[in-house]
Amino acid sequence: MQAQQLNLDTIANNLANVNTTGFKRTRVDFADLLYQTFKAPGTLAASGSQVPTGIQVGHGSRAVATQRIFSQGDFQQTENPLDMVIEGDGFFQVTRPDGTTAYTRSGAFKKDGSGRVVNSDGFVLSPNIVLPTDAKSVTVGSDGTVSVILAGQTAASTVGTIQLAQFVNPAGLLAIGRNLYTPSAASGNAVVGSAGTAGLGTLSAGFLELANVKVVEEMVNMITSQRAYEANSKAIQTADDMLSISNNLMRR
Amino acid sequence: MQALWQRHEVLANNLANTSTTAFKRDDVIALPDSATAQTVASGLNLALVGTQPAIQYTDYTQGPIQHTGRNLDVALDGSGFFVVETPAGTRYTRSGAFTLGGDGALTTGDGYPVQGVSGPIVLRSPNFTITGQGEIRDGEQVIGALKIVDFPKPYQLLKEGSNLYVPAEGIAPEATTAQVVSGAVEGSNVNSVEAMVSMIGVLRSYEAAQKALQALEEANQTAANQIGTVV
Repeated sequence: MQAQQLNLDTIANNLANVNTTGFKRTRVDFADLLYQTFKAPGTLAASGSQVPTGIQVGHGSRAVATQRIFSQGDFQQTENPLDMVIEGDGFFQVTRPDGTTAYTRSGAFKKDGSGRVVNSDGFVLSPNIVLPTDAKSVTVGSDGTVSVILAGQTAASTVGTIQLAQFVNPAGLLAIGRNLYTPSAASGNAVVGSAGTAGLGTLSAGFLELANVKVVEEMVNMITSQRAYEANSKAIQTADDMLSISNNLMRR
Repeated sequence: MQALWQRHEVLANNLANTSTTAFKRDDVIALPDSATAQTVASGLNLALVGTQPAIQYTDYTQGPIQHTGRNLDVALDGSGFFVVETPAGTRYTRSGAFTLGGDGALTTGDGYPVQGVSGPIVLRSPNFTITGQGEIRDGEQVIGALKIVDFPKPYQLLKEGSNLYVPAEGIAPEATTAQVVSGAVEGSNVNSVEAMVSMIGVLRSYEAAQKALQALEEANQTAANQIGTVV
């Protein structure tokens, strides 16, 4: 029942984040608990023949892992030139206030007071890109090249290139909230590269990546999980009834 | 009544594992115990009091294949097992909800390395596909192949928990015909409606056994207290 509770908590979190940019849903994987073996299969029965299947009683189930599923989310057109989507694998890198790098799929970037490209929390995009104050328009290419057209000029000039990071095992990343992930021993180290190279996805500016949560699927999972919880509570109730019957064996 | 209690424990465990990946349900068939049958000569229903949990079996029928779209999820269609190396030795599992270690090694959710045809499988890039024969390909290049085995039937396997099975002494793995379905996991083969119905049956049989014992006790009481008293 605790395992189902965790399942419901996970589903609720997925549903709560249905409008979160770049959110990746999680799934709980279950495994059975230890078994008590009364009679092992394959042991010799008294008559000299083998016990074909034995007797084992299980102790229920447990959650073994919460898998974050990094499938592509749908695109939403925003026409904001600093909104970006990674089409394929990879993460944007942002520098947190403490100087460490965190990784995100959310490409909702903005310009701060000093022209730096920052995310909604004000964390600076890494490598740092500064847009000149007299820039008229900003364009992000599919390879991450950021170019601007300055006032009074017609030719675009490049101000920087957005680099993406990828991990051997993205599911091993630690989610720290605010759409950010930090690497762990399970995820491996970040491999940084240009968009569109070495298996990294390409960038599309003017779009945001929506959450990859499918509401219908989550609702179905929620119903299944709730019913499983209910069935387990019935099993406990039945055990209680049976024990009560045992206690009433002796009528006095 | 003990047999019924044990069946209830088994059914409760099945119900607890309705969401467990590739779980195979257990059940108990209670057979009349011949030794008890001879001693209980009072005409009571032997199926109620004279039973022992003679045969417990695991139902290895295929569970539903649930599409997930995650390329590290694999389900087995047909009878077979993946091979996993644990600290306690080689174990077998049907649960294909695999994950990657930081070094790119293919592992189970518990972190045990999954075995390939030639040793552990290490994936350097997250872009790969798994074919129906268990071959892992990056584009056209074959990186490795999942080791899939089967056992002689009826299976003499011990459930160890964590979705792992260990074969009985002297049982060697053999070739399998199972197909690998990539981007899917095998669900539990527990039918919760069936399990609930069985559970109701168990509860009522237990109640009936209690009544039978009470009737026996009453008869004994009458025998001890009333027969032979001068009215």
